[in-house]
Amino acid sequence: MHLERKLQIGVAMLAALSTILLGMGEQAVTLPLAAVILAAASVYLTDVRGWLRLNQRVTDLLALCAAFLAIVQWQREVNDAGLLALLNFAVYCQFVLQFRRKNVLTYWLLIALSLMEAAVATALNESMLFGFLLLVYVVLGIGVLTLFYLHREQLRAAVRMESANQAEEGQGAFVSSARQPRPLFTGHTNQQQVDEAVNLPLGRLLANVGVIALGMACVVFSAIPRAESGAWRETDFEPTQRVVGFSSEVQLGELGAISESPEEVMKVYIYDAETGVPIELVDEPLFRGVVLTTYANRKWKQELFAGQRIEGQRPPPGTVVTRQRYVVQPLDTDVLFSLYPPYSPTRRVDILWAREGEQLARRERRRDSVIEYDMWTTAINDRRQSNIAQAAEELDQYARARLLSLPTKRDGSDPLQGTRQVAERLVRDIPIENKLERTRILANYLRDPTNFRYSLGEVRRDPALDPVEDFVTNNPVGHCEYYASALALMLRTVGVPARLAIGFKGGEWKEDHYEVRAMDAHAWVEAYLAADELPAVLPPGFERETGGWFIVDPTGSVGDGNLPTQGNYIVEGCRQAVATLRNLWRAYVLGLDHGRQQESVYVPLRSGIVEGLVSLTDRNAWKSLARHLLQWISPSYWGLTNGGWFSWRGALAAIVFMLALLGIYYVAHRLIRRLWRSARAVAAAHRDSAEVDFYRRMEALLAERELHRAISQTQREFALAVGGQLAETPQTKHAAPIARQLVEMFYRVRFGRRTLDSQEAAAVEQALSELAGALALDHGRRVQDRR
Amino acid sequence: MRIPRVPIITLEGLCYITMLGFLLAGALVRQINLLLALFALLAGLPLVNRWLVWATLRKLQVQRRVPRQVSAGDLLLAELELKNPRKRLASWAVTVEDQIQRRGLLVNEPPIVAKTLFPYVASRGAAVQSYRGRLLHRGRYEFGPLRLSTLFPFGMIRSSTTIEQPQSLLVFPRLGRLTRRWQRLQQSSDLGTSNVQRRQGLLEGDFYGLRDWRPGDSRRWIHWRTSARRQAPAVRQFEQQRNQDLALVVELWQPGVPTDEQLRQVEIAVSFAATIVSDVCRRGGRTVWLSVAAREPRFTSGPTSLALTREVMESLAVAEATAKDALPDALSQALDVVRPGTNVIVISTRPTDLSDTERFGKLWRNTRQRSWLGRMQAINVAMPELHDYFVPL
Repeated sequence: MHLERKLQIGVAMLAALSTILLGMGEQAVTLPLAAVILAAASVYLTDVRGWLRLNQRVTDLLALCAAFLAIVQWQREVNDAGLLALLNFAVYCQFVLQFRRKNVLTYWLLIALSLMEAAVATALNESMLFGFLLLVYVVLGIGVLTLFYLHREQLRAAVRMESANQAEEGQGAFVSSARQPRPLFTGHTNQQQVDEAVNLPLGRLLANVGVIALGMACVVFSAIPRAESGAWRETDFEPTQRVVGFSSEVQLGELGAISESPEEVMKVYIYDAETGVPIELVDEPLFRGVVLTTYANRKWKQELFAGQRIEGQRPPPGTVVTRQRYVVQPLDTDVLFSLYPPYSPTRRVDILWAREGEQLARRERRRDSVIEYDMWTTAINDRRQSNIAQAAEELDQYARARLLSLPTKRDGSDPLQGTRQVAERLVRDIPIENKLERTRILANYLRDPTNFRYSLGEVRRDPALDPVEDFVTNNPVGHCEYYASALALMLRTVGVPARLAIGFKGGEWKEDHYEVRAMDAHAWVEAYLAADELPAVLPPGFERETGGWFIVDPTGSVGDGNLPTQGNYIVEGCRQAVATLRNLWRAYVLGLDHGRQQESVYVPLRSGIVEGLVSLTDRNAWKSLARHLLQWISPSYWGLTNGGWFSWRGALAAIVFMLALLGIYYVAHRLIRRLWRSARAVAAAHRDSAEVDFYRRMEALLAERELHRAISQTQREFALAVGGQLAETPQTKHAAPIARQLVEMFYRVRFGRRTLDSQEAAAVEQALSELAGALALDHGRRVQDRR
Repeated sequence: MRIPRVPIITLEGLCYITMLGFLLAGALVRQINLLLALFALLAGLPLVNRWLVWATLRKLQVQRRVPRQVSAGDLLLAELELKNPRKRLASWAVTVEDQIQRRGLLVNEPPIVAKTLFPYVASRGAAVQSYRGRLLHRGRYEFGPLRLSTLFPFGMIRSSTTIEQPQSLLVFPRLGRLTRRWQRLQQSSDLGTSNVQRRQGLLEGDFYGLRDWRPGDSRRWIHWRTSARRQAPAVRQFEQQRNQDLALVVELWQPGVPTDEQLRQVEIAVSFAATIVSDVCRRGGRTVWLSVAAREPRFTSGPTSLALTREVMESLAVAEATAKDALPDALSQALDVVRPGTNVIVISTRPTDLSDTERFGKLWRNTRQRSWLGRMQAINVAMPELHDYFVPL
């Protein structure tokens, strides 16, 4: 295939791709579809066959039509009408240009238009697929630019050749004047040679260029400082981050995987109210957000939130009070979080308190700013979060009925029949009064990994069954919401009032605070125990009269049950990878604002450099490094002392070690060879310049008498010729052998690598002065002859 | 010696950078990370281009091969061999520019630039390309330096390096065509000279050498001993003193400020003389004397041979016209050495009156030379009669 054909196809693909990108942004299908069809048609009809080639007039006419169409669209559109109309005009022009006979300018215009479309499309779309296509566009663009450059060079060569041929044809007459047109010389590069230049090595080179460009793009993208003011937002319509995994409603049975987003949700500082010492809990803390009480139509719902401005509350006397400080990022929910039970130390106008469910919320729906608030809690005792929380008030019959309500089908049948049977079977030996024990047994049943498996992956549920029923009886795989829902409903079936709590569990401990991310979202259960149902031993200051909430987390460990259940491992792995990529895309591409840039790029870089510099002078750091190195080279580290002769870890380490050794050898070998060569070259140059200087002086002397060495002559041949010439005149006859003698000496030094001793050096000087004298004598005679 | 030059940004490169500027400005003003990502993806390309143009030209070696001689107006084909000694990186789209410049006292022309594109040179490989053209003027031409340049792969940045590789070429005068009338004139006695035909030896003439056998040669001429030794037939050559010797005196005169026509006449005179000598040498069997009355007078003589042709061509190639009257001296120099019976022809760019005793007083005063003046032929190339003898090509 000719180079230009490849270029035509490449440009058509580039144009179509940019229009697809634009179409994705405009949410339009017609334009991308038309772009693909027209691009293919233009390659076949215009470039390959040549059946349809628009001339200048038709092109102008069509461009006018496109402008008219764009103006009409401008009038009709509402949002960003001007921009979209302009873009559509660019697309129409691109369509028209594709059907013209292509020259350099046409290619330039098509490439520039496509770049413009792609650039504007970035403002209209932010999906990961769009980002992937943008990357494809850039890679394709690199190839097209290269082909275009080669094509231009070929055209220039062809134009030069044509001009030369024309000039040659026109110069039949005798050309003798100096004022004739200048002759044209041209290279003779044929089409085949240029076509052969587009080969596999070029493909490899461009692939490398693509990788390098991508690497540089990563550096440039993360290094360009974002403005502190303003929001580097994902979209204009979604100003706050969406907390993946957390919501104030829980819809079960939806098909889809839960993605684990690393986006930060909040920072929580827990410290002793009296001493101010930060407290890291032994277990993972449960930061409670919203409480869901009603389950119907496969959905958990919150009671109507009737909050009022929070007033300052004192914890009951005698309790151990812990202070909490929350810094919550802008979220897409009004819910605020706290360890349960919370008490506000001050009156806050911007925070609401709902007595029902004892929940916190923002007063104003301002989600685009960080909110900070302090809370007290009595939940912490001895660095552990208590699983019993005092109820604010005793449950009345309505509230109790609500927390015991179960869903029913339209025909009146029980959708949770299987669940009920399982629960009843499990607690049949436990008296109904012992609700605490019943709760523990059911929670343990759910936590047992032999009964249930935890998975964030997509689980296909039986549509005929309630999702909780399916989870308990049919397909025991699911995430925390299924576990919590199952426990809450099972508790209700056996007469224990229970509700679902949604919030965050754990988070990462960072020196003095917990950093809670979206992927820490969690669901658990709160079971109500009346005064007589509470355990005998209660936390200090607990007032038994109002009853309490038994906080129970039935979700099994993530690590022991996170297994795919449907499909195979590869599909599950791909899903997880896509989910991770999507999160990274949202967090570090779309959402890389000033704060995140500081946090994930600048601060680690700065601290890494500083720590690196500091550790250079730190004796302990060197000791630690030495310890690590010693550990690495010990056989036990690599699992070689476990009795087996083979260890995967050891094998991998050996391979890496050997490769590293090979690399070091290769680099050192090259470095030493290069240094050796350069040192030799420098030494030789120095020696040559110093020691063959006498030969240069001889040549200079002879040159003064018009005796020059021809390029084709060796030094010896030159000396012989000079000797012959000097022998012709009596004044220089005695100096005839001198040149030969000096050249022999020169050969010994220059090529024989021998140095002149002091005697030889003196002889050389003597010979040179004799030669100079003879030449001067001859010169005087010549001058006299002329006179 | 290699002299790398500072890379320059091309117009296309400037346009590209401007577009990048717009992208960056748009991204920063509108705070769109995706636009910034597009900018970042595209921003690396000029840097990659900068590195690649440097790497593409690194270590490249180029060698030029030109013919040893060429006549003005003939097609000149020069070969360039580009070697890439690098181990990994091949070279794409390298343009080699060669400079060709005429040297001479009266020449003040800018150099001719010959460009050749090397589409691809594999790593540790070589590629040969050629450039061709016609040098329209006789004279000495200097080749070089060679300039290697590339914009690969995106055409945004041009890098070049210069390699000094001097080489010279002597361009001989353009040859024309002698008419039949000229041939007849040379053989007839109308020219005022008598043919001296000396037939000596037993066969066709005096033996003077051996040459390869050619179709049409008599079998009697074959020298069997040499043929047996060389394994190829060789024949004896005989000298036939049937042809007249020739003395050619060329006057290249032009005024201080010549017109185009006068410049043209100088070239025609040179071409005419070169054609005559070439023709005579091709026929053989004569002795030729050439005296050129030019800025630097030149005198050449010898029996007709390829060597003489080359010598005469070299003289005529670099001969430059003068405003001085150098003809009498040149004529005197030639007449001093020519043998009796030699056909003496004066070619001049202006009318020449040999009876002008003032201009040629030196000759008229010399009795030997005076006897030649009546027998020699003077041809003015400015006259239309020239076309009866000579057709310039």
